Formats: sequence, structure tokens, C-alpha cells
Amino acid sequence: MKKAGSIVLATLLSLSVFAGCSSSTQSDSGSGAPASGSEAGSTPAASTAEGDQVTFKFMHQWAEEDRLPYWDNLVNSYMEKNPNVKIETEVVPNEPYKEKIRVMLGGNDVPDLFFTWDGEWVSRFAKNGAILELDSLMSDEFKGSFNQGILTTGQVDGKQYSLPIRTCVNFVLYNTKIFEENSITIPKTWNEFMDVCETLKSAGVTPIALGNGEGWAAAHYISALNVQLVPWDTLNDDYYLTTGAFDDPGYVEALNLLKGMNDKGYFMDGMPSTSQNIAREMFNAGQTAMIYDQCASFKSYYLDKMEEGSWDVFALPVVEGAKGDLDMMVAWVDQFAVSSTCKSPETVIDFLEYFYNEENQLQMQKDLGFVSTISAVATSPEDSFPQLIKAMDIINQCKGFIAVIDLEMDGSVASVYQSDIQELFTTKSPEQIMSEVQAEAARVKAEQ
Amino acid sequence: MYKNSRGAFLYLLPAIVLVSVFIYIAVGLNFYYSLFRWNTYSAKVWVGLANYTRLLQDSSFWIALKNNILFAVISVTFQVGIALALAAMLEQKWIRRLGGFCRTVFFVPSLLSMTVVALMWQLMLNPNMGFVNKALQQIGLGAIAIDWLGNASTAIFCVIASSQWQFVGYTTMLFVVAIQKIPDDFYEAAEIDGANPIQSFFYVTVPNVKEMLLLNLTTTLIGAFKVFDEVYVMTNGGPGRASEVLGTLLFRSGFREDAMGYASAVGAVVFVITFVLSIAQIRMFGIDSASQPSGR
Repeated sequence: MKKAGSIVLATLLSLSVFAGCSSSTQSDSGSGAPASGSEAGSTPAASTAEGDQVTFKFMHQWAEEDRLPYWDNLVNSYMEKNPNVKIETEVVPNEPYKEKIRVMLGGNDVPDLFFTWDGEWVSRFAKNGAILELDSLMSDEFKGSFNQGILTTGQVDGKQYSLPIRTCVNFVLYNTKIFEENSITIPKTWNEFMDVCETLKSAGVTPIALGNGEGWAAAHYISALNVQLVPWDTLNDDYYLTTGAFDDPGYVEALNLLKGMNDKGYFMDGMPSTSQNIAREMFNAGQTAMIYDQCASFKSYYLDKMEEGSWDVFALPVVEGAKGDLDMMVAWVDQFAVSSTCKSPETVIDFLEYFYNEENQLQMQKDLGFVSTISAVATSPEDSFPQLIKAMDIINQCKGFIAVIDLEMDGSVASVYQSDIQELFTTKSPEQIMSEVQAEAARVKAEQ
Repeated sequence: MYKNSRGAFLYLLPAIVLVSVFIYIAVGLNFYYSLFRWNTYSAKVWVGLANYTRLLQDSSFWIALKNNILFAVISVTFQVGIALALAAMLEQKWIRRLGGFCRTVFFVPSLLSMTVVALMWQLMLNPNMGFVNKALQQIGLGAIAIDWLGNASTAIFCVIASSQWQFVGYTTMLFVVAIQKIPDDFYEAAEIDGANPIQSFFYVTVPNVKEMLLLNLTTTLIGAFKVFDEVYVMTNGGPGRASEVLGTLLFRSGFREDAMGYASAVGAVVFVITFVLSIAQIRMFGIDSASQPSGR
């Protein structure tokens, strides 16, 4: 009897341990993953009476206090209009998002609708079957409402896998007051740009705010310089590993130009270890004359924080005699993708249609300063601001785009390239960096 | 019940099941996964030992291993060597009145979260707003006020330094406890025999805290090979790969470069290193024999 008691007790003990585990995972997935099945299953009568209760999970990366309200309002207003739909939002800031989304896609708690970058990100998700092909789910009318050129950034092998949210292009932002004080005119060529930096530096002003602590900010300069210095076809062959040779002298020259800027002291102190957000604050505070940043950040990082008219933008000056295609530009387009485990893709698409309707897109342009990817929602002067209109004019003159290196290339190659650029300013020579990139590209190509 | 080994086993069962599920099976699976090329959302492709051969050819791996060894050597120097000396000093008669205060001051950093400490040091070392470079300039050492974390040759040492700052007090505390257990007679006898404080440190204190010394030595060593938080927060392995350690290499490969198989291989190496160190600890300690109550 005693023994039987102990067996029961031990079994209970071990069971309770696992019961603890399973109940907690259950409640996790209940609040997270597509729970439409379980909820409908538990109250079949209610679900038939009110229409199917659908829950889906939405994950994005706009956690900033001035950006989050737009997304919360969007989700809440959709749920008000569709009482049978419950959207659970999770917000993860930019840097940790890159890891979190990969972990989540591998687990059981996959977000149904999520933010992703374009280029390598979308194509890798699509090729591994992690995201749904959207062509069959979208009406022609919905598809037709997008700017068709930009819509292609969400396509893999001609099929639509994700939908573009906003276009991001880097511009040089400058402090108009500092430029006036030093009677500087807007530089058109790289040499003029360097002269401007020199003038500012000798006047005791830090020319450029740049924080490369996260590793991507300096890589954005290299992305732009590569487009200018390397012939377009070569660039594409290298980035997409068609050849992956990376042996054009333009790559080394691009690195040399950036290294030169640093050696001459044109960047702020502590550039290699400081976060880009701190660099943005320094430009805001008028401590530096310029910063290189993307147009979708104009509103929340600069317009809302700086005096009106105290800043303006120009395109990155052009290197004289460069062999690249100067009609091309570095741009990246953030995307929404639907995970392949999504149980109710129709509902998610319906929510996306709601997000992409004219009213919500106009609101997005007004609240967030993002440039809509819907053709009909043209940037009108009432809900935009002069710097963004100027940027849009420059973007519209462009013939084609390629993304920044960390988004466009294979993850491993980009990682070597990007982390080597961080060492460009202290220990590694441009030639050494390119030979390491070549080696990694060869290794990845051999794996394919 | 003591005679009923089956009954005892039953009571052990929950613990055994838990440990095997969360430790042994996990370790085994890690080795298994390291033989594939895969990422979190893809199918697995069998590659055999390719991940291990790539590891041996990967310069980042060797940099990471070198940094871990640096971490280990410096941590042992500070958290075992200097901490023991500090503890002995705090237990000296002439300082005992201040001892409690000093112990608390040394110990407090180890109560802080590692992330907080790492962020604090990151800000202190920042050339624009940090206190370190301002202080150096004030005392006329502006010439060496560099971008500490942005420079490939100094970054890893700054991370190691912040870790020492945090944990020296902790091991000092452990040594203080061990030293307090040494009977005063020993020191009196040594004094009568004409030993000076340094001699009584080496001939009385050190032999009597041997067990604590070995414990601190091994935990510090193993900790140095498992380090992740400080490096991840302060430099994320940068600039470039200069301050990469095995932990951040594993994380970067797995979650940034989508090479989970490769990350598993790095994990396996970390396991082997810490496993060997643990075995060494057990042997040196003689835990096997000590754990069996003598004569019963």
C-alpha cells in the first residue's frame, strides 16, 4: 500500500512537472498563434451564431512612441469594423527584430502577418516556404493599386510574396544654419563634397554625424558608392552571386573613399562604436553639419525634433568619372509578408487591404512621413513637407534600384562585408576586406 | 525506504526526466544538428562534418577562441589572484574596522544585472559623452583618449575590464568567507614563529583556502568560455569581428546568418571545452571521494 502510494506520488510529481510545461505552452499559443481553431472548437454554438471568430498575430518594428500609435489605431479601428477578428500585435524594435523573426519562424508561435525587409530576406523566406505566395489571394484591383515598379520588390521568380510598405532612400541631410554661417553651397560632386567637409572642419564644426556601432550605417555609404563606382551589371552579378567575383576595382575605391573621409576627421568622434541613434541626436542638436539618413526617417527623427527650416536635403554627391550607372540608386522597400502557417490568410489579406486603402495610406504619410507605395496616394503638399517632396523628386528621376548590401546579399557574405567595414577604420585595408568578401562569396557559392 | 532502491529511484524520476530532457537530450541534439546545414525555417541538409571543417578554416572562430582565452587568463588573474589578495587584506587586523564597508563596496557591482553594467560601461567609454575620456583629458592624458570600443585592438580588453570590475568583488567575498573559517591560532602560531604578513599569507591563508581557490578557478574559467552578455551588449563582437567570443559567434551564425548547423558546431566546441574543464575540476577537487560519507 505504501509502495503503491509512493508510485502514485512519484507519478503525480513527474506529471505535474510536465503538466506545468504543457499548460504554459498552451496558454502561450492560445494568446499568440492562430487560435481560431481552438476558440471555435471550444464554443461551436457561439461561433456559428456570430460568424467565425478569427485571431491572427501581427508583428512589426515601429516601437517608437511617435510611430506606434498609428499602428495601434489601425489595428483597433479594423477590429471595431470587424468584431469577429482579433488581432494580436507584437512590436519588436529594429535591431532585435532581425533575430526575433528568425527564431519565431522556426517555432510554433509564428506571427501570421509580419514586417520584413526586401531582397535577400523575402527571397530566402520564399525559397524555404516560410511565407505564402499572395497572387491567388489578392484581387487584381488590389494588386493594381500599387506602384507596379515598387511592387516587384516583393516578388520572387515573378510571384508576389510580400507587399511593399514604404520606400527608403538615403539622402544627405544638412543643417541650413551651419551651411549659411560658413557660406557653403550644396556640393554636386564628390570633390566638392570633400571641400565642404574640409571647410566645416577648419571652422571647428564636426562635418558628419555617423554612428556605426550597429555596423550598418557605414555600410550604407559603401552601398551607395558601389553603385556609383562599379558597373551596374557587374554589381548585380556580384551581389546576387551570379559570378560573385567582387574583383572590380570600384569596390576597393569605394572603401578607400570612406576610409579617407574618416582619416581626414570628417566623421564625429567615436563613430565606430556609437549607435546611429546617438548620431541622429547629435545632428538634431546642431552638433554636426550633416548626416546620411533615409527618407522614411525624416519625419520622426528630424521634422518633429528640429526647428522648421533648419535642415534640408541633397542627394549623395557623385564621384567624377565613375564607371557605375548614375541613374541607379540605393533603395530598400520594407515589406509585409504572410507566414505559410497562417490559418486564415483571407482575413489577413482583408486587413492588408484595409491598411492599403486611401484613407489609411494618407494617414500614414501624414503621421509617419512614410512614402506610400500606392500610386493613387500621391504625395500632396498639404500632408507632406518640403524636404520629403524634394527627396521624392530625386527618387522619381531614378531608373532602378538596388538595396543596401546587408539586405541585398546573401546573409553570410553581407555579414563578412559589413563587419569588415567596421574594421576599415582601424585595422583592415580595403584590399584585405575585398579579398575576405571574395573568399566568403566563393564559399557560399560552393554551398549552393 | 533507504533499503528500497526502487522506491528511491521513483522519487528521483522527475529530476532524472527533467535533466535528461533539458540537458542530455539537448546536448545530444546539438551534436546531431551540427551535422546539417539548416536554418530555423528551412529543411535540414546533411553535410556531415562540413561545419566543423569550416570552423577550423574560419578566422572568426580563431579570433573568438583567442578572445575567450584572453578572457580566461585575465579573469583568473583578477577574480582568483587579485581577489584572494584583496580578501586577505580585508581580513587584516588593521583594516577590519573598515572591512565590512569595503566588502559591501566591492560586492555591490556583482548584484547588478550584466546588461546594466555593460550598457553603463559602453556609455562611460563613449568618446562623445563618456566619462573615461573626459577624465583622461582632464589629467593631461588626452593623447590616449581613443574610441575604446571602436578600436579593434582595445575593444575586447574594455569588455574584459568591465567584467572584472563587476565580479572581482564577488569572488573576494567568497574568499573572505573561506579566510574567516581559518582559526586565529594558525596565524598566531605563524607570528610566534616569526612569519611576516606576506609569509603568513602564503603559508597559512593560501593552503587553507585551497578548496575555495579551486572552486573559483574553475567557475571563472568555465565562465570565461561561456561569456556572452557583456560582449553582446558592449560591442556585439565588433568592431568587425575583433571582440567576437564563441558565444557571440554562435549567436551571429545562428540568428544573423541563418547558419544554424554552423552555430550548433560552435556550441559543440563550447560544450567540449567546458566539459573538459569541469572534469578537470572534479578530479582536482576529488569530489568523487568527498561526496561519499566515509564509513557509512
